[in-house]
Amino acid sequence: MNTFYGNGAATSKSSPSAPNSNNFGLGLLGVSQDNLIENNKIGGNINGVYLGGGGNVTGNIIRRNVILGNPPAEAVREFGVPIGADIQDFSPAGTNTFEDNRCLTYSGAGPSPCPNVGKPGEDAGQEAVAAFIRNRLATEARVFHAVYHPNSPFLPKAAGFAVPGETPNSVTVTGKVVDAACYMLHVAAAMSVSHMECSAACLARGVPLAIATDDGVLYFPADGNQRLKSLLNARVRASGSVVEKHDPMELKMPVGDKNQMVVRIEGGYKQITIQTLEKIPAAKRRPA
Amino acid sequence: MSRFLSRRITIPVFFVLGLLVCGARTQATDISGTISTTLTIFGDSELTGDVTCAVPLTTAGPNPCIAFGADHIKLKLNGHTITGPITPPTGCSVPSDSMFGVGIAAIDRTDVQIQGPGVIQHFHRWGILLGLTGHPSSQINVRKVTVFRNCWSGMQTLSTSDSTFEENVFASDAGGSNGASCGGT
Repeated sequence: MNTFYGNGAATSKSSPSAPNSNNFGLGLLGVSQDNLIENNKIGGNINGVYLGGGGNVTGNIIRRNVILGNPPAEAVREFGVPIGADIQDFSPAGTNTFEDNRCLTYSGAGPSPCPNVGKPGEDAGQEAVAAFIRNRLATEARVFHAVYHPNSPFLPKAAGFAVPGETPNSVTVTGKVVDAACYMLHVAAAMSVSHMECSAACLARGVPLAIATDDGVLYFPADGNQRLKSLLNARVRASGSVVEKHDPMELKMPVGDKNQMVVRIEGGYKQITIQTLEKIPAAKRRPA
Repeated sequence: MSRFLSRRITIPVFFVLGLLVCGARTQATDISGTISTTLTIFGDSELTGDVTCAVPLTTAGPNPCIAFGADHIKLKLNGHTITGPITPPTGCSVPSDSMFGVGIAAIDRTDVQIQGPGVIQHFHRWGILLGLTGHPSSQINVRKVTVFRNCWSGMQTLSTSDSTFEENVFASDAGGSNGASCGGT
């Protein structure tokens, strides 16, 4: 297993008008044939896996790789969704084989191997990675694709109260206040110090906030951003009633001045009606 | 595997040969300190300390810090770091450059190994270069190496076959590729 993290620049393009960067974590270019790319971790690059055009990138097998978080949320925000993808594929359709990769976004002639986040029990050989994915997408959210709407409100559709079949539970949760859309796309980026300015900008545009617990579960406040907005990036303890929501919710992030990217959650999510909320000291790092 | 970059760059054969002839000739060597002219190894070698590379760009094509000069040998990094002179994006190579720096080169080689753990970082183009168009390499094994913050790709393979790359980390490379299609590998 090789690891490819944070490679590439968004400004590197094959031509000024190209929508995507030509940089990547792992690239197959020119004449690249019959390679086996297996069991690698590829994240935070401008493109994750990049298959070049020209018709000579063929016969390669890309399987059982974890290709997630490409490009980083900051790059998407700055340069737009088309700047990169987990798999950027310029090879002719069907000339390479993708098997059992964990990925969210694909750009190419298809057929698209993404999104594919797996199911419990499928990743026996990649337990840590599988746990990470499942914690991160605890509500079984799936990023379907980037959807452009020129004028839509940014707040989630589904703010509200418990309805029949959604029994509230009183809980106390501890975690960090994050912008939820970024967190669901790239946990490490959303939790980093360097993301603070980005998340503040997202908040200003109305991106929904949530409390991300240490085990990766998101709690969306029932009253929108009102109570959390002054605590962005802070560690908090909140108590209140929690319900499991089952109706779809869309998290919307501004992309440039006119567009936005939509993350649609279809598998349900947790909504908390906050009764008490307090800021607490940041968690101490555990020794390695 | 990839010939994309080589199509843009013409590298005369004699310069590659010159690279092997003119570099310091070394056999079964302990390596550390500053390298100021390409160190070509002809036997199993290992790092005994961190290495700083200050190889001037005097030869057309790649000017490696360390070059493999024989088949069936290995270079062990022993947890040490090989550091080039560049901090991307400042000073990075552009595609039209005829001379450029790389960390470790295995060109026209068969059955050589680069064994980590160890770090290769801060070079004009590639941290590791395997093969060149017309100068193939095969059966190359790169294992447990961290290739970090090089201007172009962390590792570039050209005309390379039957090779294995395992448990490596390619991070923050291609921060100054100046339009060339680059990345981790």
